[in-house]
Amino acid sequence: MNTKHLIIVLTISLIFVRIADAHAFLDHAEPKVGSTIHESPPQVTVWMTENLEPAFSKLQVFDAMGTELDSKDTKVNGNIMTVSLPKLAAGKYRVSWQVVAVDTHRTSGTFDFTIQ
Amino acid sequence: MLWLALARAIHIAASILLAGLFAFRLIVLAPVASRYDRVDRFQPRFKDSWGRLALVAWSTVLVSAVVWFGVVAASISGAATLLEVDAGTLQTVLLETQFGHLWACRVGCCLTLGILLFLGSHELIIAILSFAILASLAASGHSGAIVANAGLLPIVGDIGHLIAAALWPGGLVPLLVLLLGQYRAMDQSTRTFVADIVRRFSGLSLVVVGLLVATGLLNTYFIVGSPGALLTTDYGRLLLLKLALFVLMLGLGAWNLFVLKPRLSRAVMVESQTAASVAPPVQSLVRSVAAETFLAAAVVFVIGFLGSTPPPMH
Repeated sequence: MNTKHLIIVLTISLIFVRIADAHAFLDHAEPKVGSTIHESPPQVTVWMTENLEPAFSKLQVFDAMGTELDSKDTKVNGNIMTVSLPKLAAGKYRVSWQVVAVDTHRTSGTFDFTIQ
Repeated sequence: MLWLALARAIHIAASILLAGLFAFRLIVLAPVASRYDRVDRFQPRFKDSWGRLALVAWSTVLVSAVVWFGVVAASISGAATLLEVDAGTLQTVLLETQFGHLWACRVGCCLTLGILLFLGSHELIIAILSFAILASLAASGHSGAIVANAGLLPIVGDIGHLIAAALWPGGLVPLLVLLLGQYRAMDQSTRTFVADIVRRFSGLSLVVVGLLVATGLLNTYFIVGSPGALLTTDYGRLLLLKLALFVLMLGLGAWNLFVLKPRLSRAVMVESQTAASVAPPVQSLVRSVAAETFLAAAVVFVIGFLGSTPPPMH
């Protein structure tokens, strides 16, 4: 087998690879990750990299003391997850997301935003 | 992760084998066998082996589906062991997740297939069911979770890829069984029959490589990240391992196609050849196909682990 044939075979092999299940991670959020805003947002929305299973996915918002402040009404639509908020005072808040993608893999993470 | 990967790999392998068995019978064996008057001389032995193999594949699909469901339920709910998964979680996974819905369809198809197989129903219907079981795996994987504006294209690509896997790697096992059962009793008719089977399977394999390229390109477009991540991530290194195994598989396939198949054809074409002189090329082919089958199993084993590892693009 000469070099040309080897390259063809390697290319075909790379293409053949069936890349299987991935995991859902945060793509972007509103309020934005690490942002500082001036008004209390009515809700937090996150856009994940994969479609989610509503039964096993939730979004929570905590204050600096670790108290959960969201309305515990997480809604999932495809890869978008939303939780509504009461009016928040100025301060730093942590958003925690725990999701199961439709390929059944669990992932979780956090990010902060600040209200001035 | 180990149990999840193992259950997944075994389920995928058994599903590929089940569909591959029926595809081999309908696409390779039946058209060749119909050209021979004395089919009954070499068919029954293969039919028995094939029947046992179909039963093993079918029961493995069913058992591994149950285990996979349990392991996934434990993984989703965060339970450390299967015993910690409560009935409520199992019910939620079954009724409220895409995986559960597809799993129920798959198990339903599998049970129906078993009944039809037992009743000796029309093979085409059973074959369609076996491919439905295989195809449903696509939506259980990454393709079903992709957020894209491409609609069903990622799933269609993955289904095509699975079908291709059933036609070629899946067809290696029945080919091996047929070769093992025939090469010892080599009259001229059987020799020609075996050579025709090998020729037809080789032709099919070439077409399947085309299908693999097309569907693989589609998968690559939707899923694969930067090539540089192949060396720097666990996923990338697993992928390279799988790639190496597949390169070996292709090499053996090429050896069968360009060296062993012509050698067998030449031996068969000489009417005066004795069984003893035809046996060596067949034996070489048996060894090569067995090695190819082993490599295909190793590839599926790696796929099981790839499924539990985040790809570089994330």
